[in-house]
Amino acid sequence: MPDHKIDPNQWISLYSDYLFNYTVSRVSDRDMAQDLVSETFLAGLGAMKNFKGEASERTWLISILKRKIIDYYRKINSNKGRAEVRMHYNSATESEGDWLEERVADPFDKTAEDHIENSELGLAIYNCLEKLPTKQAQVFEMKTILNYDTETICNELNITASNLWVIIHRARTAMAGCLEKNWF
Amino acid sequence: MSDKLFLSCDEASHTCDKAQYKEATLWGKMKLNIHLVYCAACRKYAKNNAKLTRLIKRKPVTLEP
Repeated sequence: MPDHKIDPNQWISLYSDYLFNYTVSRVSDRDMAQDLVSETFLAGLGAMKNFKGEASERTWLISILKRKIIDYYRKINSNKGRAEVRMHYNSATESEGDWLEERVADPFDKTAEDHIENSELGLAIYNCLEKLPTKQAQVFEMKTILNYDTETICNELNITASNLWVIIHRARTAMAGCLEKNWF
Repeated sequence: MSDKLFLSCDEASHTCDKAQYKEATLWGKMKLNIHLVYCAACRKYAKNNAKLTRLIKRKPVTLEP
């Protein structure tokens, strides 16, 4: 039997779809499956020197993935156990329990202070935007604030997509730096 | 984008920018996460980037001064 080689650079292109499909049929949650697959790749990288070459790379990765899936089910089951003993002190009748914390004003409620803060934030964003070069400000505004599609902007300004992303990157870096100074 | 598992910082920040507009691909985001595990500079950039998105989302900014 030939020895199998291990080459992490090929993993994504060779196995990501396979591993993802394998996982999603077992956990039926796309996000979770995605996380599990990336954890598998990471674990595989960490354990690369333990790879003996007896099985193919794919078999080896699947065996790691199986462990990850088992761990995932252990974790959500213990969460469920905890959730079941949680007390719903407010569900029985309207005022039963009468917890003090729930009688005070909702801290996430919109207040006058929030409105002032928000308009100050708008002003800060506007001021920072003004400091950017015209082109960057224009693209950033269209993309981030007006939520235009990449394609629309590209057609409008006659630039390529990669061009746009470079401009966006520069604008975002500048905006983050500027807001860091004036707002945070 | 290339098929490598390990991104350069340039590629990582590009994916990170795209992710702010929900335009990054599934595997792009995976590779970004792997990059963030070992790259402190990009972690910082990603954090600030997300913060900027959050700030702007918090209020639909009107641009009339």
